[in-house]
Amino acid sequence: MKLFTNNKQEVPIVDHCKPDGSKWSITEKLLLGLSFQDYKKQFFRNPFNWAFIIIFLIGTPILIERYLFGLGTVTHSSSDYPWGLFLGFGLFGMVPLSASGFMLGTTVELFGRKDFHPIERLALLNGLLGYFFAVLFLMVDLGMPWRLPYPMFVSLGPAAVLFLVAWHVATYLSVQVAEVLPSFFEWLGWLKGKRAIRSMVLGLTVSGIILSTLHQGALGALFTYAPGKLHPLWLSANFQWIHFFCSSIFGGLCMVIVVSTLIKKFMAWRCDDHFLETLDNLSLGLAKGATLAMITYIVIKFVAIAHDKEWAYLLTGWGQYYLLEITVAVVLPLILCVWAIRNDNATVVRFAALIVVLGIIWNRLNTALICYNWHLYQEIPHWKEVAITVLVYSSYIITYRFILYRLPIVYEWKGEK
Amino acid sequence: MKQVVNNQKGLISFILMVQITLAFGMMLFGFIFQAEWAKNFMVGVGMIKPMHTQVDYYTYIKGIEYLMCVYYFMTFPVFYMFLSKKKKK
Amino acid sequence: MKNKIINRRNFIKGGLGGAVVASQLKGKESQAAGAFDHYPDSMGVLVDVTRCVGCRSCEAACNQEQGLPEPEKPFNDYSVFDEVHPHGGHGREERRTTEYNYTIVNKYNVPGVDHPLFRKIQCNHCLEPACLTSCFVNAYSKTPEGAVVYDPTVCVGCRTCMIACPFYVPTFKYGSAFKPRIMKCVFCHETRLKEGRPPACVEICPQEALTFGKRTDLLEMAKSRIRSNPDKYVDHIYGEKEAGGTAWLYLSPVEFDKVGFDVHVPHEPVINFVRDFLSIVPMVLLIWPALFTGFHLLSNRKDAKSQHDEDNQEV
Repeated sequence: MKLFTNNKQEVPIVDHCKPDGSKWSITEKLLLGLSFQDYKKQFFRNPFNWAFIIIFLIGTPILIERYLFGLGTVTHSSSDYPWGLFLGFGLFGMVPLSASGFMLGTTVELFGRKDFHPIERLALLNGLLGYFFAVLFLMVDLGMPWRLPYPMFVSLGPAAVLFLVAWHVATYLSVQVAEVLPSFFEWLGWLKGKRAIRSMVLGLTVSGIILSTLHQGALGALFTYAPGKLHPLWLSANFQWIHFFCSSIFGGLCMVIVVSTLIKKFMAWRCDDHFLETLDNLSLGLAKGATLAMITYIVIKFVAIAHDKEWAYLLTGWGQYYLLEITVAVVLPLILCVWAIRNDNATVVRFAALIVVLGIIWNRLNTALICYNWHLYQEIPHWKEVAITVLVYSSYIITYRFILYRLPIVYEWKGEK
Repeated sequence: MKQVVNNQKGLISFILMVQITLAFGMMLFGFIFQAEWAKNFMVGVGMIKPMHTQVDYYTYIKGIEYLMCVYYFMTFPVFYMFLSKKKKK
Repeated sequence: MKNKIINRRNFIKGGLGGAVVASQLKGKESQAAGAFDHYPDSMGVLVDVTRCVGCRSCEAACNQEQGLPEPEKPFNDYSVFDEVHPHGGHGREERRTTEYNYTIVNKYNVPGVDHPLFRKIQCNHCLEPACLTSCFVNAYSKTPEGAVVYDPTVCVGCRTCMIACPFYVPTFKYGSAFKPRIMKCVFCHETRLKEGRPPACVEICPQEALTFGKRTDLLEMAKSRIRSNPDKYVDHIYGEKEAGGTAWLYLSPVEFDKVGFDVHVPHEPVINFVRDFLSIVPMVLLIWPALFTGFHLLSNRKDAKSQHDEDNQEV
């Protein structure tokens, strides 16, 4: 893209009108103002796209295999390990990293911190896509995905935690679509729709907080069904939902830092100056919020051990693994963040955010797979399971990029808004 | 145009508020004076019913709780709009 | 003071006018305290590990009764007891129930016991089933007869029941893409239990290792067996309290973990671990709207005021 942005002054598109005054058509907007030939050229010039092509060539037949011959052919899911990588990584790992939407929505819309406005839309989009693809992972894992609406309309089991998860994902997904729509309407030029959504923004934000609290919490509470199966250090019947909720706060914030870093590095042509100039400060601001959640998280994790009187477990191998997880995934980035915030060092903050993001995924995999059935044996996912997971995650990245290229997420729309 | 829309909104929220007040009033009336229909209603919707297991009990009470929550969810914005709108001078 | 309470209770009784309601209120009070009668007439099975000889006829009877597929090795082939299923990254060493067999018998060579011991595995039909409470489409139900049954027509295949079951009982048809379902022992509910007949495995048992009867009676029977033969049995009835109590009860001559039982299963219903979260949900749903709207008003007083003035001017 750099090649074109340097040579053509009308690219990238930031307005309804071309420099000569005529309007861009939707097709032109979709092709980023390039001719079809040029678009193809830039697509194949990008080495990432070649990687994606290979992933899709390998993954798609396996995904088809899963839908034609059943889960058994592509996963190691069994009677002892019903959930594998699709849920362990896709659902439990992606959802906490999508908490950014409600965090930034609250900051800007509810508390009126307009200085975070440049990154708000990115956070909202990050939330929407994370949830959407978590649902796609769920669709891969469910035995009968076509029955997804059953818990809502056909047969209701309101006492189940998963019932809450289902309802909250469904409603929160719609709330997030509504929250992201204004940027789509700006791009489309349909201002009436944008105004309609803006008038509901407080309601949407508050519902976002409620649904996120419960939804993040409910994912944690799912494991309270397995008190005898999950290792006690990773399970706290009383506080599990708060652990998941609290860690999602810094997980979501750090995910925005990581994504914005990638955007700055690989997609600078798409960002406007305002975004690029404020990004360092905003990252520090987000990290400051994240540190508050991190220090709380460390304390409540140990309070949970005290509450269940599990100190003795810390002396076992599992205990060492537990302490390793806390140290590497939370304490280390916390220290890095504190140092970086005091020294105004955005680079270190970004590095710490990456550790946090990986750490969250590590924690969720520990809870869902590695420390699950600690009395029994360890399940190792089938390679096809890994291939499908990579495939779905790649489509997540591609969709993410597709939207960022076009909609006014990291730049301000110049035309009428 | 905007005024018409606002008036309509006001009317709708007013009607809703009246309905809610009426419903609560009726229930209160029924329960305070222990009307026969109040008892029949409670038995009918299962508010009074023996349960044999805790799991069934939870399925039941959670259902009612969430219905109340959803109802409140729909009422609260109306209530807030109603609250934020000052009377015309 | 005591008089006052009684008077108030009488007042409520009289007010609601009817012994029916009053007695139900009494029931309600006890429910709030967490005591449920768990269908006092529901049935159960007492399994006496000392009597089982590992003939596998219960496996065969179950296979036939439930119309399950023919096994690879016939039921009179006893080499299955010595099969070791290697981990290989998936699967456990011991035989377990699968989608093809709702019940299996495993052999245990316990040091100090001169003969092998056998233990039958199937759904224990909990009094407070974890599968039931974890199911978001209500596919499971506990019948008054005591069985925990499953309805495949509403199941979505999320497999949370398999996570929740403390005994690892429900199995899933992973091999089916279009009609996967949970497979588990249903106490022969449709074919036998409903009519008061014992399940097929119990009926066929030649050793009377399995006894069918009212759970309350079986508990008494188990206790009297332990009392009259204290040397023969360990003083514990597995299933009396495990997971809040199960319809199937077990007596063993050795410590239960030596014959493959999970002794870490909590002695209370699984729902007790989930209850805390469930009670918070409505509070979050009901308190957050006003709380955060309030925060918004608090932090945007100026904006809100100017906005308000604008509105008034427009009108």
